Amino acid sequence: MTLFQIIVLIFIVFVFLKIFKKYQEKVISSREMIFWGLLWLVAALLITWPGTTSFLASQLGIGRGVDLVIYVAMIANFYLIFRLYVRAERQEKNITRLVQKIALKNPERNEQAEKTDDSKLTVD
Amino acid sequence: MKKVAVIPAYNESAVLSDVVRQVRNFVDEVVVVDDGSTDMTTAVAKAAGATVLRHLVNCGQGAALRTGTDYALAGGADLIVHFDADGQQNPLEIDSLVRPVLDGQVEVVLGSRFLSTQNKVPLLRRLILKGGIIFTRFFSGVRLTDVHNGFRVLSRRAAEKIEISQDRMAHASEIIDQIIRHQLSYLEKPVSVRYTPYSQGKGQRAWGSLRIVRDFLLAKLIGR
Repeated sequence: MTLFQIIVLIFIVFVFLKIFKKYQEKVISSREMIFWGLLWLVAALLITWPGTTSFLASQLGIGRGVDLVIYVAMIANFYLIFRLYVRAERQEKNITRLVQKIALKNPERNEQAEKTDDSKLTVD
Repeated sequence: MKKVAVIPAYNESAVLSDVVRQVRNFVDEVVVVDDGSTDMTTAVAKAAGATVLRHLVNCGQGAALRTGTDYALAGGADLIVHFDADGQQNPLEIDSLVRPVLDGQVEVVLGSRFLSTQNKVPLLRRLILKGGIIFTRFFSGVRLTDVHNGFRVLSRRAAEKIEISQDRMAHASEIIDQIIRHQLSYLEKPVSVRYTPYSQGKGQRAWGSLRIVRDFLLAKLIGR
């Protein structure tokens, strides 16, 4: 076990604790807890047995284990970003819809400024 | 024939009063949509005699136009005029744009800066708009001389059919696309444009045009 592996594994233990705490505080759901927990578990496994990535990589025909990890991480990133983008768009649309509804419910007029005469300035 | 003008406005308290007062002479009601302004836009518009709809947060000119148009339709408008708040457009030309719709000749009249030889449009803007024209020709299949002009007149029927889903600046391209899609009759009429340091300062940055292309294409991709 290298020092790097030990440090990272300790870090991951902290992350596990944090994830569980968030679940207890009801900030995240059980499904989210399992998702993130699994993700970090996989990370821990790969860190403990780095040979697995090399093994998988050679199975898939990719040069190094590291390359495989990077490819997977990039694809996952693009996908996650796409999901976030769609969600952000939807939220903005929802905000707009709410704002419009509120605006339509409260039209404002100034009853005193009804004169169409251009030359006079009305004071409210 | 009830004619309603819809003027989307964002922080235009400096010039809005004149615009509203002048436009009032040519329509039955002026609806100003205050798109989350942080200045006195709403108060100024009200004092000038407009009906004001206020967006609590800034949503974009497309969203503001939609709000105003929906309000106008709900109020029984037969004809809707879209007009800019920044003083670049000439209210005296409202009648000439309204006429073809009033006469039943077309459902939509689009203002064009380039049909009039008197307009001096800055070079960069002219180039970008030329790009927009080619873009519109490719994606909407229509050849126009001005694809980004806020001065337009819609018949009630046209306003009901056209759905503005683009909140920000791509709404102009979207409206054109919808006109073609719904097979609405239209024509372009020359309008004059008056660039002042005030309106130039508020105008779109050159990069804004790229954002319009992106928004328009993305919407088509996602299938909105």
